[in-house]
Amino acid sequence: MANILEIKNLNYQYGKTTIFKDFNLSVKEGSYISIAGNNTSGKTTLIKLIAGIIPSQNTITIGYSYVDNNRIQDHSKELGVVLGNNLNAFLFENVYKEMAFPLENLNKETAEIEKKILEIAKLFSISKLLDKRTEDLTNSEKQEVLLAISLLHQPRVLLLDNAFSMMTSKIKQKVKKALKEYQKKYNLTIILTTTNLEDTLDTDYLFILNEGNIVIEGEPLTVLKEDTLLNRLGLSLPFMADLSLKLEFYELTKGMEMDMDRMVNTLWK
Amino acid sequence: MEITLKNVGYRYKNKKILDHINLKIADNHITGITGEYKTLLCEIIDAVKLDYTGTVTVGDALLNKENLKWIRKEVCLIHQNWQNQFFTDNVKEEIIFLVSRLAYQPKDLNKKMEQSLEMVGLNKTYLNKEIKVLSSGEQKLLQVAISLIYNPNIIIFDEPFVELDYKNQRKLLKLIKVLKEKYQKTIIITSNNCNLLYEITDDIVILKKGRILATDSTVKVYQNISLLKENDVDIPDLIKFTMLAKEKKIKLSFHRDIRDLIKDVYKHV
Repeated sequence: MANILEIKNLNYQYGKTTIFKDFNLSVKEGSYISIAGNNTSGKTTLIKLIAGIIPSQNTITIGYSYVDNNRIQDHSKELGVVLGNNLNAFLFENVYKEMAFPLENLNKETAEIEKKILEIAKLFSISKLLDKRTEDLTNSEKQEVLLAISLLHQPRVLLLDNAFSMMTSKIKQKVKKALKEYQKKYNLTIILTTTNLEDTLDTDYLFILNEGNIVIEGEPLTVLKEDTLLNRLGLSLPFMADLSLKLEFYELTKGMEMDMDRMVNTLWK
Repeated sequence: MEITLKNVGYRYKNKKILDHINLKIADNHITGITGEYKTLLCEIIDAVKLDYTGTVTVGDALLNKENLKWIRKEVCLIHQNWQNQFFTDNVKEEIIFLVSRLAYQPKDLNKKMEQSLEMVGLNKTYLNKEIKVLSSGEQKLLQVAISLIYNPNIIIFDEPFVELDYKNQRKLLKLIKVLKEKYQKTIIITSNNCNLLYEITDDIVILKKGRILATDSTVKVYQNISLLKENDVDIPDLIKFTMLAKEKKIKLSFHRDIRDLIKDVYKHV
């Protein structure tokens, strides 16, 4: 598989603070990777650099072309972006109109727009929300809608920044399942950033970012074993990972067990 | 200060959003609110939204237009997204601006500013900083510091944990406990994170479809598993684990700290 995203020797400063120095990252097409880090790690800045919201001096390539801050429209077709904190960004009175807007901008036919919206809404089971007023949406529903909108133009790369932060765990599970289905079907590349390690468990590969550097990387379950380092970096372990490591320490169980039912069954047969 | 809501309802264009809210929020307790439209409920208590039906009493005073100035001093709402809400660039200017709008004018503002920054664990160098460069954790602490200058009795945190990493979450949890125990504040926290709510709150209110589903002490609400399951409410991991063990006829007790749970598991294996 070819690399869809390549970052080479990225340097970025905000005022006098250096945020990235000679930063490198490559992401294979069709993979689902996550980047976790604390509040000052530079996650959101990285997403903004990749999205071309902040200029990056030709150090980032998507597909075959550089991300150019002055010509955002060139690569915006390839990219879907969800900034999870951006909940006041809704422009229209109801959800359907909000979803139609980006497609209308691409000069799509009304019939095609409707088909697309219904398809995505069905996938994320948010068809019921379509006639709702955007003001009446709960924060969790707003994040669901933002995610659905980001996929309407069929991007090749999806950037998710804290995109699940307001969802209850039930809704999060539902949304993540739908997203994975979509990813497989369209060979979508997903880059997710979060402070919550629980969100990274279903991704293929996890990078831990701290002060602009990648400190640990690997499959999520392997990375989670570095619990003391992660805690020091300001990240907390998901409940089951924490429990597994503590029980293993007392030699009550072996290895990482993320399923609570199975854990209880091993403890008490 | 106790807060009483009697038969409170809220309509938007003839649509019932909140209905039949009867609620007592106890003095000097930490009360968690979870579920749909929790922010709206907080805005009613904070007197941001005044077009509701029913009555709200804060302490001995009825919440109405005549008491507005007094309410503004006694109730403080810590917003979730402050980035969009500050009026000036500099911390000190922001504080002076906010305080100038209040009925209550502290005598020695400079000293008060330094004291309240210290209370939340920030030093006085923060007074000269730009708000934009502060991390989301620091911004949250700063907001609390500003509120402490005019010393409100009730502090409402709207989704305080959403963007915070583990370290900042711990800091905030500690601060909330100090506010309750040392300064006798009444505290309301809205959140979807049942694990954190279970850890810190004394009482819980669960909202569903604009009505109250449950309101009682945190321990009682979260041990009412059948109600939570029927209504798709997230159950804290610690409780879930104990319940699974109980199904296997293992007599684990309910714990609020993972270390206590491990000790209990150790005894029963």
